[in-house]
Amino acid sequence: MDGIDQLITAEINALVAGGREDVTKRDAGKSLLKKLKNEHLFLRILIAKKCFEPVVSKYRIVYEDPADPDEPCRIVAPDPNWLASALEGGVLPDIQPYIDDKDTERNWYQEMAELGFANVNTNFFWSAVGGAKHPYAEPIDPMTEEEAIEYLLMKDVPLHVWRDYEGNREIFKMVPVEMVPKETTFRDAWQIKQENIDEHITN
Amino acid sequence: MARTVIMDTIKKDESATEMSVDGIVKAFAVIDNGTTPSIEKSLNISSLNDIGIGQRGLNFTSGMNDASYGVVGAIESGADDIHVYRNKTVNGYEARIYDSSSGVEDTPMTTSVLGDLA
Repeated sequence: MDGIDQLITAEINALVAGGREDVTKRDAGKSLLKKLKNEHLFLRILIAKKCFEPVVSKYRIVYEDPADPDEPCRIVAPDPNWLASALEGGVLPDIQPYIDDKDTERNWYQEMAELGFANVNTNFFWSAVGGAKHPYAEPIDPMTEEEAIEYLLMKDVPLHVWRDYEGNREIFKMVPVEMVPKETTFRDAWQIKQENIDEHITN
Repeated sequence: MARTVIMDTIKKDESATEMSVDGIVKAFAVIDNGTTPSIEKSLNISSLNDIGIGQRGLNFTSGMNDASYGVVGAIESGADDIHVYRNKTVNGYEARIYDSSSGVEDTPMTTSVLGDLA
C-alpha cells in the first residue's frame, strides 16, 4: 500500500466515522480532492487515478497543422483517466492557465530566436520564467464529455491551429469515433474533408 | 500519519518552482494499436496524438519543468523494431516505432517519463 492508498483509506475511515454508510473509493476521492484543491495538480491526478473508473471517449479531435501542410491530419484521443477526471470534477484546472502557459512558452521561444540564439528548442524551463500557472490553479467543477473535448482541443491542439489560424480551410473538427476510418492503408495521406466549406462557398 | 507520508514525498520546492517528487515515474502510457490507437493504461496523460503510421504523440496533464526529462520506451513485437522519441517539450513528446527493414510501423508500445514537474 503506498501513500496515496493510505490517504484514501484514511478518508474512507473518516467518512464512515462521520456517519456515512457504504463509502466508496469514489466518495473518498471526491472528498479528498476538495481538501487538496490548493495542492499540486499531480497529487490530484494520483488520487483521481486510484478513485475514478477510466472513461473511454466516444469522440476524437482531428486536425491539420498549417505549419506542416504536407503532413497527414492528426487524430487526438482523450486519455480515459483524464476524461474521468474531467467528468468527475475537482481535478483539472481551468483551461485559461494552460493557454497562458502555452503563450508564455511560445513568447520565450520567439524572444530567444529574435536574440539569435541557436538551438533554443531544448532550453526552455519553467523555473527560469517564474513557474507555470496550471499546476497550482484551482480545480474546476465536472464537465460534460462534449465540454471536456472542447477543453482538450484548447489544451492539446497547438494555438496556431484552433486560435490563431486565419486561412479558409477547416483545419480541425471534433468527431464521433465512428467517423475515423478504420482502414489505414493510406493513413499518411489523410486530410480533413473540405466538403462543408465548399458547399458554403458555392451556396 | 498517512498525510505525513504524502507530504514527505510530494512537496513544492520553495527555492525553485519545479515539483520535487523523488523516485516515481511522472507519466506513463500503454498504447494499444487497434484500428484507432488508444491508451490502455496511463498516468498524467491527457491525450494520445495519432500523427501517422508508427508515430504517436503524448500530452501531459501536469507539465514538466523542462524538456530535459528521461523517456523510456518499449515495444511489444519485432526483434528489429526500435522505439525513439523526438520533439520533447514541457507539454509532451512524440514517439516513433521504426522497423529496420520497412521504416515506421504501427505496433503496441509502452512509454514512461522521469524528471521534474513544473
